[in-house]
Amino acid sequence: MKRFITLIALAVLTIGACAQKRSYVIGFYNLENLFDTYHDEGKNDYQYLPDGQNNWTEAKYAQKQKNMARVIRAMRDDNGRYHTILGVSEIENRHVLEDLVNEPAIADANYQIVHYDGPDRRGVDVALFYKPEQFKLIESQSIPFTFLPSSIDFSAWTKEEMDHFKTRDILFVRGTIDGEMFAFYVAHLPSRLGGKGADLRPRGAEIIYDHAMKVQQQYPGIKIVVMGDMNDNPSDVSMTKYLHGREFIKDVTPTDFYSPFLSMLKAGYSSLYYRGEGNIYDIILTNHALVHGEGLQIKKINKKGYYGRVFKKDWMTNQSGQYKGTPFRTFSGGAYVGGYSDHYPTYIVVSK
Amino acid sequence: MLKKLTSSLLLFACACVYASAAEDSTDKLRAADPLPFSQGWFAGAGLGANIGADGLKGDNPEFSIGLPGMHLYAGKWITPAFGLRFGIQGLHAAGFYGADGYEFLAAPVDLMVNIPSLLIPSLKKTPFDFSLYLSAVPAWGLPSGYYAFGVGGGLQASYSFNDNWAAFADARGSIIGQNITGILNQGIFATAAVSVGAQYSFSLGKKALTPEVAAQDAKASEQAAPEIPQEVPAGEPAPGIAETAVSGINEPAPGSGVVLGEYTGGVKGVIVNRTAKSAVEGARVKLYSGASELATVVTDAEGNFSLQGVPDGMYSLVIEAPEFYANQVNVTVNDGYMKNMFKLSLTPSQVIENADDASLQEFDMDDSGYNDSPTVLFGSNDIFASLTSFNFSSVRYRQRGYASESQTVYLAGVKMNDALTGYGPFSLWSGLNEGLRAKESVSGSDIFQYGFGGYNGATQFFGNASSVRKGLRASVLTNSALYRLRLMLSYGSGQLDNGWSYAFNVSARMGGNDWVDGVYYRSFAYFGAVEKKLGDKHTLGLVTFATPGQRGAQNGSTQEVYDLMGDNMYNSNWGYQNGKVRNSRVRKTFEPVTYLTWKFVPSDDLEVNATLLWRTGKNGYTALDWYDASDPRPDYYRNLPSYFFNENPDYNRLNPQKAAWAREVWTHSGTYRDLTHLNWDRLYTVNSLSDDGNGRLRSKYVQEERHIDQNDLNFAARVKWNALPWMKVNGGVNARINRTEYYKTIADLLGGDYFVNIDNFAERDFAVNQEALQNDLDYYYAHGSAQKVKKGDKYGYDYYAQVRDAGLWANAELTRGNLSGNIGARLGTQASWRDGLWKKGLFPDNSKGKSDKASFVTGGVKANASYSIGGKMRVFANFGWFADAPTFTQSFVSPRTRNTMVDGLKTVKTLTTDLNWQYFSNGYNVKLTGFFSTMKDGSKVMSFYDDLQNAFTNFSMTGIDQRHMGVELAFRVPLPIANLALQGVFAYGNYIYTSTPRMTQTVDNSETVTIKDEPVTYWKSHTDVDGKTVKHFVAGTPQLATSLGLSWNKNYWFVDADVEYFGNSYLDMNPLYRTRYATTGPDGYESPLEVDYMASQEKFPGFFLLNASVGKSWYIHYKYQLGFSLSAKNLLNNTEVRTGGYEQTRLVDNTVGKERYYRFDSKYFYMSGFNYMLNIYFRF
Repeated sequence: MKRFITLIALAVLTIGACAQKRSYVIGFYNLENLFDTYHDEGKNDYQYLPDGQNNWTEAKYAQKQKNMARVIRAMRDDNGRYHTILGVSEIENRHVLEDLVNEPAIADANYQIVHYDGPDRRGVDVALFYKPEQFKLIESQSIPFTFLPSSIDFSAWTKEEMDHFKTRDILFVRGTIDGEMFAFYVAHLPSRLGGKGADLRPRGAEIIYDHAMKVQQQYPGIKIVVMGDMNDNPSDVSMTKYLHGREFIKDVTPTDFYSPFLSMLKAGYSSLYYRGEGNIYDIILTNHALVHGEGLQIKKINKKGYYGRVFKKDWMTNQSGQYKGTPFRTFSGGAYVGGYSDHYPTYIVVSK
Repeated sequence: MLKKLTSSLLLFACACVYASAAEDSTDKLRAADPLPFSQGWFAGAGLGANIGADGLKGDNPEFSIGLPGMHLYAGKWITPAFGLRFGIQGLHAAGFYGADGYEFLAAPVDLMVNIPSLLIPSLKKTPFDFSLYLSAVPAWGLPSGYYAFGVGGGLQASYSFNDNWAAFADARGSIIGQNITGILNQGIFATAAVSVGAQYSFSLGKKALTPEVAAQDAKASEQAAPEIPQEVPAGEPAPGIAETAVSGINEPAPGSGVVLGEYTGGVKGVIVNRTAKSAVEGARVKLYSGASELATVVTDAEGNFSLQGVPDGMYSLVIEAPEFYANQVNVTVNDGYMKNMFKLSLTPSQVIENADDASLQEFDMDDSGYNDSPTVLFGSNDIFASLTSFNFSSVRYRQRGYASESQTVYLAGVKMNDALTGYGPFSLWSGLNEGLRAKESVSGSDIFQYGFGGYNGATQFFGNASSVRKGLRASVLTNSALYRLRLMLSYGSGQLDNGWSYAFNVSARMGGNDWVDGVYYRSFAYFGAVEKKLGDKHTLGLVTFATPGQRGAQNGSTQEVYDLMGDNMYNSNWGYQNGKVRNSRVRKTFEPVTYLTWKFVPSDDLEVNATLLWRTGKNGYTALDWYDASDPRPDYYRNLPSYFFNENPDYNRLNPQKAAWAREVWTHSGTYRDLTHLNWDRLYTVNSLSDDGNGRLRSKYVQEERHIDQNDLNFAARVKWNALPWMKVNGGVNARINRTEYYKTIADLLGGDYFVNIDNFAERDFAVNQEALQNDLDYYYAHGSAQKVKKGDKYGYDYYAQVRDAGLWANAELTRGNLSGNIGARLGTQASWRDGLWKKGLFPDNSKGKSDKASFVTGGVKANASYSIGGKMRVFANFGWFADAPTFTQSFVSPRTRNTMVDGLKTVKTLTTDLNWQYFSNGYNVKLTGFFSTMKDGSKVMSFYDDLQNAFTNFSMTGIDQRHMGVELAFRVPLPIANLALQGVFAYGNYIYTSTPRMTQTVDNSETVTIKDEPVTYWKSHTDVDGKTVKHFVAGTPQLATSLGLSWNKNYWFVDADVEYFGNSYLDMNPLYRTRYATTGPDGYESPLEVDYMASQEKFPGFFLLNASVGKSWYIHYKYQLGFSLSAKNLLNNTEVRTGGYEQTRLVDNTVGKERYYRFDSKYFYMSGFNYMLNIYFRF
C-alpha cells in the first residue's frame, strides 16, 4: 500500500547568498470538520450534507471557509507574513482545500496544496499548504497507519481488528526552504474515545519517529518538523517516549525531538479544552538540526521565553455561556453557531 | 382496599409485525453479530404468571390469584449491546383470593443490556441470548382508575431458531408506588412476573439501506470485473513543469475525456486560473499510478478534463500548463465511482515570482516576542459548587450560611428574584429543565457580565430558542422523595438557515412519594421560544413559559407527635375523606412569564442586549379557615398527651388518665385515623348541621386559598464592550414595576352554602360593633351586612403591594499578564407601598388607598483581584459592599389589615471579603477559601397570638446584625487507578448574630403599641446557669459540612459514591423567647435558670449520609443518544435527620407557681430516608 510520488520542482531557483535575516512561520491548524456540501462516494459525510443532520448548506459552508481564512489571515497580520508551511487537519477532500486557498482573505498567499485522499471512515484527511516561492517541494508521501512492526504490545488486537482499523494517514512532505532541506510530517492521531485506543497514539508517534530517523539517515542535516493534532498532550507518553519529545533544547540529542509546547502546556497555555481543562493537542516538534544546527533555527517568539505560540483572538473564543473562554466552534451541542474550530492554531518560527 | 397477589399460568401466543429482508448493516459490529436479534427491531408475545405483595401501609397483607396474564412488547436494539423496548405486561383480574376485585395493568419501558455483547462475548457464538433490563413501569388499576408508577428490572433469555424467530423466557420484578394522584391510599407493592413466548426480529424496510451500503453493493459487483486490461509501460515520474508529457497508452485528447478501460470509475474536474478565475485550456493532466504514467488528457476550452475507465486505486494527477506553477493532486478512485475534483486551480508562475518575500522582513519581536498569557478556565470549574450543589441539597445546605434569597438569579438579563420577598424564582420554571438549561454562574461576589449580582453568587438563565439543545429529547424520571413520575419532551431547532430558531419543552410531574403522605405533585409545564436573526447584527427573540399545577404541602409537627406516630415524616395536613387521602394545604400556581429580547452585535467588540419581561398569573395556597368552631388540626397541642399530663407540677397538667387515652389514640393511628389525621368527614358534618335559620348552611369550616397574584414588568438593557485588549466593560440599566394583589378566596365551602366575610379576631373583641368586624366596610355600608361569600369569592383581605425598582450598573474586567482584576458598582432606588382595596372595619382611615412609600437608595461596589502562578494555580480575592432595601414583606406591620409601616427601616448593609487559592491541572482541582462577611440592619416582621396579652399581635424586629466567617476546601484528585478520582468537601463556618435588635409589638385589632423600641435582650447570646456566655447562631444550614467520595468515569459511564457528615445545625430562633418578658415570668424576677431555659438555642445532632449514583449514555450513529442516571441517596436510611423547624411563638403562662413561663414544643422537619431517582432519556 505504500505509494511514493516524487515531483521535482523545476522552477528557477534563485538561491543567492542572502545575508538578510529570514524568518519563516510553520504551523498547524485543526479546521474542525471542513466539509463541502456534496456527498463523496464511499465517505461517511452524511452529517455534512444540506439535508444531513447538520443541514450543511452552501451558506454555512461559505461562512465556514470565510472563518477559516479569517484566522489564517489574522495570523499573517500578527506575524507580518503568511505561514510558509501550514499543516491542516479535519478536511474532507481536495475540493475544500481548493476553496480555502482561493478565499479572498488569503488568496494572495498563493498557497499550494499537498493532500492525499485518506482511508478515514468519516472522511477527514490532513493536508499541507505551502507558499511556493519560499518552499520548494521535492516529494510527498502518505504514510498509512500500520500496527506492525512495533515495540508496543498489540496482542490484545486480532489480525482482523487490525485489518479493519482505519484512521488517517500521516502526511510526509520534503522540500527546501532557503536551500536548506526540510521534511514535514502532518498527523491527526486517533482520538481518545473508545476503550482500546490508548496505544494507538503511541503507535502513531512511533511510525513518525521511525520514518523520521530513516529520513535523517538518508539526508544528513535535514531539518524535520512534526506537527499535528496528536489527541495527546506534549506531556503524554506518545510524545515524550515514542516521539522522543524533549522539553529543553539542551536535552535534545540527534535522535530526539524538541517539544516546545511541553513547557507551554505546563505554563497553562491551551489549544483546546476538554471538560473545562486546557490541553495542547496541536503539537509541533522539531528535530535536532533545528535547535543545534546551522542556518535556520527555531526562534523564541514569546516574551516569557517560549518557542511556540497558540494563536487566539477574542472573536475565536466563546465570550459567554457554559463554554465561556473556550474556542468558538462551528457547532455547539449539535446546533450551528457559526464559529471557527474547537482548536486554536499553533505555530513556530524558524529564522537565521 | 387494593391490590393483590396475582398469579397466573400460561400458554403462549405470538405477535408478528411486518418484515423486510434488508439488514441494517450500517453498524458493522452488528453485522458481524448473527445474534442477538440481529435485525434491530423485534416484537414478542407471551403469557405468564404474575405475583405481587401488597405493601400498603396500615393494611393487612393481601394476596390474590389472577387470571392468566399476557406479555406483549416491541423494541429495538440500538447498538448490539443496548436496546429499548416498550410493552404491556401483567394484565390480570385479581380477586380469586383475598382481594377486592381490582385489575392491574403495567406498561414497562425497558432499557435492555445485552449480556453477550457487553459482558460475556463468548456467549455470542451460541443461539442463546441473555438480556438484563432496567424498567420504568407506569401502572394502572382497573376499573378503579388509579394510576401509579414504579421501577423494576429483569432478565430475558432467548433461543434463536433462525434470524427471525426466537423463543424467550422473561422474569421481572417491580416495585410500584401507589398514590399518583394524591387522593388515593399511600403504599407500595411489589410484583414479580415470569413469561414465556415467541419473538420475531426484523428491520424496517429498505429505508435502512444507507448510501454507504449501496456503495458496498456496487463495489461487490465491481469486483467481478476483469483485471486491468492492458499492460502499462513503466515510465519515469513526471519530472516537472518544463518536461513535456510522456506518452501513455492514451494520447492526449484535447477537449474530450479519455477512457482507460472497462471500469465505471474515473476522475474529472475543471482546471482554472487561480488569479484570473478563468478556465485553463490546454492544460495537460497526467494520471500516474505510483511512478507509472497511465494516461494524459488535455483540458478543453472550459478547462474540463475527464479520465474514465479507471480501476479502483490511488493515483496522482500532475497538472501542467505553460506559465503556471505545476500542481499535483493525489486522488483515490474507490468503489467504481467517477471522482469529481471540481475546480483545481493553478497559480500563474509570474504571480509567484512577483510575490513579496515577506520572510525578509524582520520579525517584529523587538520586545522579544508575543505577550500571550495562558488562559486557564479556573472560573468555570468551581469544584466547590459542583460537589455541593446537588449532593448537599437534601440537607438544605446553604453556602456560607447566607439566606437563599441572597442568590441573585437573572433571566435574559432581568433580575428575577421575587419583588416582594427576594426569593429565588426557580419554581417559575421547575420542570422545564431543557428550555432553561443554558445558564452561566459566578460564585460569591465575583463580577458578572449580565448584571451587578450580589454577595452570594449570580446565575443567568438564557432561555432563548437558539440556546435550547438541538434535537428532540424525551425523558422519563421517577423518584421516591418528591413525586413518582416526570415525563418530559423538548425540542430545539438550533439556528436554521433562514435565521429562525424555535424550541419547546413540556413536562408533567405526577404522584406522591415514599416518605411523606399527602404530599403529591400534579404539575405541568410548558415552554415555547422563537428567535430570528436579522442580518448579521440583530437577533430578536420571544419566549413564554409557565408551570401550571398544584402540589400538596407538608407540615412540621412536634417531636411528641412524631414519636407517638413512630414516624418522623408524619404530615398533619391531610386526612381521609370518604376513605381517600385529601390534603388541606395545596399550592396552586399558574404564573406565565413572557419576554422579548433584542440582541445587537455591531462589531466583534460590542454587544447590546435588551429584554422586556412580564410575569403575571395566579399563585394560591390553600388552608383551612373556621368560624365559631374548634381548631381542626389533628396535632393541635390540646389533642396531645402532653396537654393532659406533665411530670412538672408547675404546668398543672395532672390528668394521667386523659393523657393515656390520648396516647392510646396516637399510638394506634390505624384504628383512630380520624383523630390522628384531619377529619374531613367531621368538617362536612359540622357544616351540614349549621343551618342559619333560613334553610341555608353557613359553613363553619372552609378551605381558603391565599392568593399572591403578581404583575411584574421588567426592562433590562446592557452593553458589553471589549474596550481594549486588556479591558472589557459591561454596563446596564434595569427597571421594574411590580403590582401584586394579595387576597384570599373560598376554595371549598366543605358542604356549606356560604361563609361570612368578617374578621373572627375582631369579633372576639368588638362583638357589638358590627362595623369593626367588617373586612370590607364599603360592602357593609352598601348592603347592610357582610358579604356571604361563595366558592371563588374574595374575602378576608384584598390589597396591592406596589414595588418600583430601578438602577444603573457597570463593571470592568482588566487583564495584565498573570494579573487580572475587576471592579463594579451599582446605584439604584427602590420604593414600595401598600394600596388597600378594602376599607377595614377596624382601621377605616388607614386601610383603603395608598400607604406612605418606603423608599431606599440601594447599590454596592465590588472589586476582585486574581494572580495566576504558572498555568495551574491562582490566588484571588473578592471584596464587596452592598446596600439592599428591605423587601415589601419586611416593611409593613400588618399588610392584611392596614397601611402602617415598620418604624426604623434601613437598608441592609453587607460587607464581604474572601481569599482563595485554586489548583487546577491534569485532573486535579483543589480550591481553598477563607471568607468573612458582616450584615447590618436586617429586619423581621411576624404576627402571632401572644399568650401574655391574650391578643393577636404584630411584631417587628430591626437592627439585626450577623457575622459569617469560615473556610471551605473542595478537591478532586485523580487516583493511580485510571479514571478514578477522590473528591471531597470540608466547609466549616461560624454564622452568628452580633447585635441586640430592637422590637416593637402592636395589638393587631387595636393598633395599640404594647412594646415600643425595646431590645431583644437575648437575641445574640445569653448567659447560661454557669455564667458562661452562649452565642446564638444563624439557623437554616449545617455550619459544618463535609464529604469524601470516589468518582469513576469512563466511556460515558459514571459511578459516584460518597459519605457525608453534617453538623452544627441550629433551630431558627423565635424572638419572643429572647425577650425579658419571656425570661422574667409573671413574678417579675429573672433567674439565671429562666434565662438559660428560655433563651437557649437548640443545636441539632450531627449525622452521616451515604449516597451513590451511576449513569451511562450511549451515542448511536452520531445521531441518537440514550442514557440513564440512577442516584440513591441516604443509603443508610437515616430517618433521624432534622433539616429545619421553628419554635412556636407561644408560652405556657398559666403555671401553678406564677414564677416563670414555659416554652411550647418546637416543630421540626425531617429529611427523607433512603430514596432514589432514576432518569432515562433519549435524544432523537
